[in-house]
Amino acid sequence: MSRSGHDFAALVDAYAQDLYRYAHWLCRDVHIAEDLVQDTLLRAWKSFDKLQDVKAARAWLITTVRREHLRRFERFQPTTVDVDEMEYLPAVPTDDVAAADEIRTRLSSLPVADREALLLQAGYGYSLKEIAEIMDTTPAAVGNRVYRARQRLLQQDAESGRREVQA
Amino acid sequence: MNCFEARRALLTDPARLPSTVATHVEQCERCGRVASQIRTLDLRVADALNVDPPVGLTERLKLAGPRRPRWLAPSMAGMALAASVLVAAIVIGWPAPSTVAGADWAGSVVSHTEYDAAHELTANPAAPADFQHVIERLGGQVRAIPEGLTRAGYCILEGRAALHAVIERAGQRFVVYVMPGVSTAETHVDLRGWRGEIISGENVAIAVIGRDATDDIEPLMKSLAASVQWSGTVRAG
Ligand SMILES: [Zn+2]
Repeated sequence: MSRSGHDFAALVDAYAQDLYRYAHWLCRDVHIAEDLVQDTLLRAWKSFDKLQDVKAARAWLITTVRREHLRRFERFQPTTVDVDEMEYLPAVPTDDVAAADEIRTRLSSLPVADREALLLQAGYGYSLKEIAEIMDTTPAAVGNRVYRARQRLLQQDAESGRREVQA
Repeated sequence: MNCFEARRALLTDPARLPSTVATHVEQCERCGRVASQIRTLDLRVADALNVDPPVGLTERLKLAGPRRPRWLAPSMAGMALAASVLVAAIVIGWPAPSTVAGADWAGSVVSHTEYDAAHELTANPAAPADFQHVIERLGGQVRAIPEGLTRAGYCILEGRAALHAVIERAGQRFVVYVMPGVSTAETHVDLRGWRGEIISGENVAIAVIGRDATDDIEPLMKSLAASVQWSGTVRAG
């Protein structure tokens, strides 16, 4: 045995908060998010030798949170994808400021994959290529997703602006 | 470059615009407005991620994590060694010193260097931060970043986590390993064109090897030993 609880604590200190934010955004549930982070860090700890590159570790962890979330989600959901996402995502906690709520509500009206690609780009700063690896798709497909997502959000901004002017 | 192409690029990857697009956006008022709208939008999207992790998250995760070996008892705290000791000696959280013979360490150090050829990569500006991060994760403290450090990362040698770094001095490139929990006889390395030394203190070993004639690696060894401090609790049994 060559690993210790010490390594695990260091993993938690380095990555838990960042991973929690991502996990929470994926599942919208504080308990499930914590569970996802726990599973992911334990998995990382077990495959310690795969995490040689410090910089690659975060992308690896993000990918693992995402896979674990999908795995759980698939366990509970029929495989048809065209369900409106709002039906199965619990509501976002309401104690946040209104502006953040508004953008979250709008984000949640986007198709899942478009929204996730945009969050990984705008929120985490990953490149199209890195997002493609995380989401298991092509950079061109990621480009289309973020393009669509931004276009739609800007359109909603423009519409709500018009409504405010009319009111 | 026309406005249509510029909008496409702005909507697709606003933080990494090709220079032709960036120039257009600077010069075209309408595209400039769209660019600032998109930047604002991206900031709001990033904000949406900013939920506060629940109180006690990290503590709960650590408690529910893998069980700590029982010899990590805190009762032995405070028995830190004097900082001046060459290759200061005590490591937290590592099993008993390995009994693998020196010759095996030479073999595994050279094999790992050939397998994970970090020395062939260009210098990474994040090397000092990586060095710090890895040493701390291995249970040590960084006293100084070694001069000439160009890369640093994790590796596993003989099943143990170690620091794998590249240091350039006086035109020579050295591959360096800092291996906590390893104790070995002083070993001369001369294998497949790699030459160097492995030395160890009480509970940490340092290997330095190079491709070219490495006449005098002692100063490098010494500065490495001085750059990292291992402190904490003594293994209780
Ligand atoms: Zn234009």
